[in-house]
Amino acid sequence: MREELKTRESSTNWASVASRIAAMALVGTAAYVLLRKPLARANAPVRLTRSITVMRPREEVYRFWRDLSNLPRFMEHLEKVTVLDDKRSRWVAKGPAEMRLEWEAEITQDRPGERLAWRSLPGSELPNWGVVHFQDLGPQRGTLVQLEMMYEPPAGHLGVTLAKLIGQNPEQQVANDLRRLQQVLETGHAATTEGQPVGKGQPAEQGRKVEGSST
Amino acid sequence: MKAVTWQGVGRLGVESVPDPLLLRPDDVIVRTTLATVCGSDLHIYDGFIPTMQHGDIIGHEFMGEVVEVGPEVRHLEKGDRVVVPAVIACGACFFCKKELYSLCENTNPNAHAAEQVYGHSGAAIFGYSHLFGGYAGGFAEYVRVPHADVGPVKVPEGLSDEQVLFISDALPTGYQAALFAEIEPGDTVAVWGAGAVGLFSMKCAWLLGAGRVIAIDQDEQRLELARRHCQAETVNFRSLEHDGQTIVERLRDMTGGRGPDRCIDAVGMEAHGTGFGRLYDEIKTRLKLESDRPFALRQAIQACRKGGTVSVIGVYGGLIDKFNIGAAFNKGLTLRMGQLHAQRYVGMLLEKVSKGELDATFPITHRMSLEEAPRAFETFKNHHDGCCRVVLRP
Repeated sequence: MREELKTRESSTNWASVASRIAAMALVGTAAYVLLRKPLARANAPVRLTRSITVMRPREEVYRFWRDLSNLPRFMEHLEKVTVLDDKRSRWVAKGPAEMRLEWEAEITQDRPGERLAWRSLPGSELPNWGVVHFQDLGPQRGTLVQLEMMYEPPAGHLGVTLAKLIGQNPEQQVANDLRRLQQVLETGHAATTEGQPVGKGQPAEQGRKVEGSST
Repeated sequence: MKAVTWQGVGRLGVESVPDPLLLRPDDVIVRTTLATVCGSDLHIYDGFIPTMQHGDIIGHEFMGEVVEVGPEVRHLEKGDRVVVPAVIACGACFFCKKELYSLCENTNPNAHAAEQVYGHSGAAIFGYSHLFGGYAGGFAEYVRVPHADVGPVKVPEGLSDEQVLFISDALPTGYQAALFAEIEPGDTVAVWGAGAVGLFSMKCAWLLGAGRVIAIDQDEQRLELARRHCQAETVNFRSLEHDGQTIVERLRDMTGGRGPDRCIDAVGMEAHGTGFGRLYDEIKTRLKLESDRPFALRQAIQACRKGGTVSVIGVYGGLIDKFNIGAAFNKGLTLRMGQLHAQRYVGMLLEKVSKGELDATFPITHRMSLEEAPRAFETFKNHHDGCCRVVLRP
């Protein structure tokens, strides 16, 4: 059931959605994507930044993130983060076909309620580092969460696995992860439809054609 | 359970699917007792809403009985009769706290797709495409309702399903249209579209102080509902065509040259226009150069008095063309629009219905079973047999 749902989800071609709605605007977008694609070639370090506003107190948002074992609740490709001690942690990312990438990381800077930075330790299958800032936006305006991450895609087989793991669009992945962070903190859970009932995905010609004059 | 599924443009299936489960601790499961086919279901049926997938359970306007309750739900229990707002809202985000529930940030699992298309994502809507969350809808025997403490309202005893069903969508949508029109006492309010939402916006325009209400449509039977139930003057744009007069000219004549103070577009993207404008939009939508046909909206902007308000409640999904921004600008118009912030109005409207101040049953012209959904859609779409609204009982 779950597998089937996943397949259905991924069969949605969001690009074609946009093109149906904004056919002409897409020409410009396509040119932009084509032009920037060479920048994301394998092995070049990838830098990702994204921010989001969460309607919870800054201290609470910081504390949630500081407990790194919470990260898999909103970072989709993390399977588990085990906190080893005050600074060190072990991260497991899940990939396609039961593939796993593992590494250990250490917290390199911790300014409670304000800023948290980490990096992977030598020997990591995925050298990476990141920093997250937390900032008050004022009464009823919530907390600004700014994330900056970098990683070095490994060469060869691992690099290919990683590309599959992170997908075509790592920026989108980070954006989705932060959105899930917002959902978890504001409502307790990330939004989902996974596991809901669905009918048969018949091809159109097998569907029941409704005849016009029925009254 | 039985459910009505989308199977391509103009095709519906009625099939057996698994019963829904509680997926989050603040979900409930509702056993549907009554649902209705809305004009925006026709947009899905006709293929104007992208990102539908074969097998999707449709339907967003429904009510029923709570049969299962998640452990974190506080305000509902088994056996409660509830009307469920079409829009799914979390109640906790920046927008929900401002009562802009249809802009909720936390209910659309496909928000990234909506962002590609609209810049930002709004709330999810039951049974209303994957762009709006991909939630299984209400044309089914059972429905999973997320954030159950935020949306559903309990129906007091003594009110029938038909009396309260439209509180799910059409009635608050009509109310929001009238509210967004910023009606001042004595204003003339013109409403394009005499479907259920348009009719309710006429009723609500009176509640908010209108001095005159004018209904515009081409379906004489719906205009009769507007005259009889909403005390509206009516303009049939089909017969106007024969008289060689435009709607804008007729409205000008009816308002001493000034134009209606407030104009409500309760038609949206699949408007049936007349003449050259219709042909133009037809060709452009077929060529995918324009996704919506904004016939009513263009007329509303042209007709509206200087300094007036155009309230857009008919659904738009994408790009429009030949939008006279010059008219809107030079006449100093206010344009207000948006999906329904249902949760903001449902309590107040339920009270008005239960006190007998608002009759919300008069648009119902047809009653069918869930299995008859395919026929219901065709009857509704083609206004067969004087159809204004069909209700479906599982």
